[in-house]
Amino acid sequence: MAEPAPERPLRIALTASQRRATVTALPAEGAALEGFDAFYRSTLPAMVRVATLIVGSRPTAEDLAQDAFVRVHAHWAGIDDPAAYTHRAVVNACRSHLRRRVLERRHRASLAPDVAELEARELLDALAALPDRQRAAVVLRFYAGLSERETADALGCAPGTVGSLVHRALATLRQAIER
Amino acid sequence: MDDTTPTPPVTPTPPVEERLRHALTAGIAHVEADAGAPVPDPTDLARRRVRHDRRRRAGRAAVAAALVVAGVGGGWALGRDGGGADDVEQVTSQISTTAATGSGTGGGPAPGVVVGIDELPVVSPGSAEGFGGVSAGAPPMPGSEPDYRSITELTPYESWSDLAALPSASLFTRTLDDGTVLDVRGNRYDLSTYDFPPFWEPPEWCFPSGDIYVGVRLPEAVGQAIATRYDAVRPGTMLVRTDVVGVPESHPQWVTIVQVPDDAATVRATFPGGDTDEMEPIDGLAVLSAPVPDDIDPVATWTNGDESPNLTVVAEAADGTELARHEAPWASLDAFEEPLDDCTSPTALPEPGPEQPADPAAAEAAVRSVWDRGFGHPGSISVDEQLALLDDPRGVAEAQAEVQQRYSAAQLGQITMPIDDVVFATPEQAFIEYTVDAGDLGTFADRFTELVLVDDQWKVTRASACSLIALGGGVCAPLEDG
Repeated sequence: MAEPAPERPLRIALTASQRRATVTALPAEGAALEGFDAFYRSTLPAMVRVATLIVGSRPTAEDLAQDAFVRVHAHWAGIDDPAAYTHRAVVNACRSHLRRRVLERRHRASLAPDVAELEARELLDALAALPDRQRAAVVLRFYAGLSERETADALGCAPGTVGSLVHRALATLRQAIER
Repeated sequence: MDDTTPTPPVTPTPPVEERLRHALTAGIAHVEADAGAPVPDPTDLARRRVRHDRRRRAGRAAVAAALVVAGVGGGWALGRDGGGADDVEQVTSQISTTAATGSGTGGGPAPGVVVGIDELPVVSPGSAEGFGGVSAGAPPMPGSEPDYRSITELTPYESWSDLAALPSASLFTRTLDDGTVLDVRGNRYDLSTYDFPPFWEPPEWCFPSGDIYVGVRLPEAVGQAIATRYDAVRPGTMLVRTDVVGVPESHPQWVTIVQVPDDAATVRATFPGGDTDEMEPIDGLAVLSAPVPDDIDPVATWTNGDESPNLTVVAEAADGTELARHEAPWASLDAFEEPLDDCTSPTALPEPGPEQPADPAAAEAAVRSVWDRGFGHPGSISVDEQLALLDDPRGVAEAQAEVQQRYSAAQLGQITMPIDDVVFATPEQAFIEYTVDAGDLGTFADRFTELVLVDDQWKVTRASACSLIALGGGVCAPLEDG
């Protein structure tokens, strides 16, 4: 199987106009939303991918990511760091969903049943079995490429907790592929 | 084997982090081979925003949805029923005369205001779906950001029809000069059903504490306005909710429900078109009303949300000092949607307290033993044995029975609840972080429970047990003694 193309980095560098839009106080609606559309178009695919890895279902991930962007839109004028805010909104949406939509969990293990590589499949299966917070932490750290601090922001916890979550998750994953 | 065959070079196994990165990327590549890369859909986003805005304007998702479906006529129909007045539980006074006078002028309620004499009934959550299918009345999850636009999960309604049947009691009745009567009623939620970590007490402005219903009787029309009540508002702010009644009868009337700081003596609204109304707040609550001018289409402005004309509400202290001001499109609920960091519940155990048990290892072993015995594998212990491990078992067995009706013995038997961590706040109080592994029903991490030392025995608190049972759809009845 060909090596999958590297993912586009999820870190979004704001344009000057986007940054301006985030600090402008109470302008007219059009101005207040300056930059949102471009941000949405450039970021949505990455957020759907993160959500897919957390909830294990692409349609659900699309739904959750779209809803997260509705929230981002509603708060756009007051958001300092849209990428961080959106990560948090997506992760919160995923975690809420996983807690409330039990049936979806039954499908999560089938995220990549046909991935040719045995180890990748085993890792994805083991990932699916992790507690939600551990799974979100490793997806944000090792797929989205967020720092420990940024992951902590997205999860709403201390950076030290991220270290602990990732440590525990990796221990479980290591066991899974070494069995 | 030919000894001369060169040994292939040994490739070091990449670390698990690298292999994980590769697997994640491969997983996404696999998904996108079938479904394609995600494509932004601004049209769908716009549709969702409209739905979202409608929910915001209604203040609570469940009630709002019902209003949208029922249209203004639904409000009319509910108002015609008198807001469930026949179902009111008549008890004793909760609104004191002092509160009724407001904080400014003293000497009794303002002309046209009659203060209610009923204690607010407590409404418990409706039936929850349990284990993830959380429905109305189910508690917010630790770590989830409170969302004032998604209050469904915090309120005890499951449907529009439930709303009409909910008990309420009179807060006050206000009669305006033009004959409009505003019958303001309320209830209180059973706050013990909120699933907060036991070591965290949110500010009172974070989560709703009840409902406010305003039955409106005009000479030509009736209707009802609804708002969610909080026990306090953030200092320097107010909560404003505006509805229009009387649309089907062609006598549209604004009804604005305002919650203000306790020291507010006057609340004054200037409605679009210039009409004003003011009153002394009663127990931090004011209800203001004025006719909608002929040149403003209330339905159009409702659906336009943030583009609707401005409503201004000002709360003043007795000396005229402005305490809070709200100036926004009347159909907007922007005041409800600030992200509030102090309302986000913690997702980790607190630091250990300054005083620890004399023998921490023994204390932790004892705590773990109680939990493991009673809750580690709850299907392996009788309800009676489990209740013996609680500090107060009243009403818990009944709530347990609700869970047992919802799920099979096999489903409940597969549940395990391993401890993730233990801390001691004091030598007599411990907190546990645990995970509920309910097999095919789901896994619920970041859950917390409290244990207290009673007669040298560690006991799980009733509140913690009830919080856990709520996850499965069982509801502990409120205790009469609180």
